[in-house]
Amino acid sequence: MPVATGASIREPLDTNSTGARAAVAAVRIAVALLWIQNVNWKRPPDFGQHNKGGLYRFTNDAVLHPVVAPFTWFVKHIVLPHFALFGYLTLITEFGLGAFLLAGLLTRFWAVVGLAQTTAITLSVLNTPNEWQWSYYLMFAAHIVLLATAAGRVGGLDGLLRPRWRQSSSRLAALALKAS
Amino acid sequence: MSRPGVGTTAAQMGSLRRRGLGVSLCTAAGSLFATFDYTPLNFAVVDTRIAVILLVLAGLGALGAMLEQRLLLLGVGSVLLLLGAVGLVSAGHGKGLIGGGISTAALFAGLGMGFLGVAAAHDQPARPQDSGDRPTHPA
Repeated sequence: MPVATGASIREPLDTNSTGARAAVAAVRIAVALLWIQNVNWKRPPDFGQHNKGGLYRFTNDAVLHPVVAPFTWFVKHIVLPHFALFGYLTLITEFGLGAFLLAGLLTRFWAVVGLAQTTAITLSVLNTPNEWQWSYYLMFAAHIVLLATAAGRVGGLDGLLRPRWRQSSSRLAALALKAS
Repeated sequence: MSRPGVGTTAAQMGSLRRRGLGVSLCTAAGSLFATFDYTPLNFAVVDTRIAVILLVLAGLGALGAMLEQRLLLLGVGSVLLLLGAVGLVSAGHGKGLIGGGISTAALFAGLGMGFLGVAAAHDQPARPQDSGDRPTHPA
């Protein structure tokens, strides 16, 4: 048992055991499947605007059931008047989240994108009746785990390609190293 | 991960086989979504036609891995990525060109990247310092 003598002693995390590595990969794939399943109901070209359903209904919840006033103003005056544009942005973002997290490619970058997207979703629907707010808190937690553990290095392409990127002198490779 | 020194190329080819088979297995597993009749478990829209496509491509990928043919893995990855891109672009136009849904396209794209990444990582023998990112525990 470690004893603290003046300076604090940190116990190392058990992140390198086979079980821990498998768990990190499983969390990454589970989060990828979360996005893959949920991108499916973002239907272009109107994303539910015509029948007030789908993505439009959930986005409009930010106005009907405000969470924070500045975000409500943003949705009401910027997003909803240009809804098709934001619908396509959502579609491409969540498509990318599903595909890249599944492959474990540039995982840290996509974990940050996932955190941003979770923030947008949370600020839209947190106060909507019958929503289970812990869904969104757990989404934050899962993406923080992916970011903190660089989860694509386990069973993902990041772990496979990082040695190549490290050997390369190109700027793209340097960016990829940071994003993975 | 490969060991440095003698036999590096053989080890590389062994890992190509193992990783190629791993991605092929994941691709074949995607066809299982066609068997679920329970919405919460249908993570991606996979009907019989999509399941057949996944199984055929998984078979070709497995063949490429067993024969250590990078080109075959590149081909399977490219087809999957192309199907994913077509599915994304054609989303909202009826059933789209490949059927399924946008989730199917995302699944195709992710698996395609997997095949391409495995093939790309084995384009040349790794240098000795390419021992991977697995850190060692402090004693």
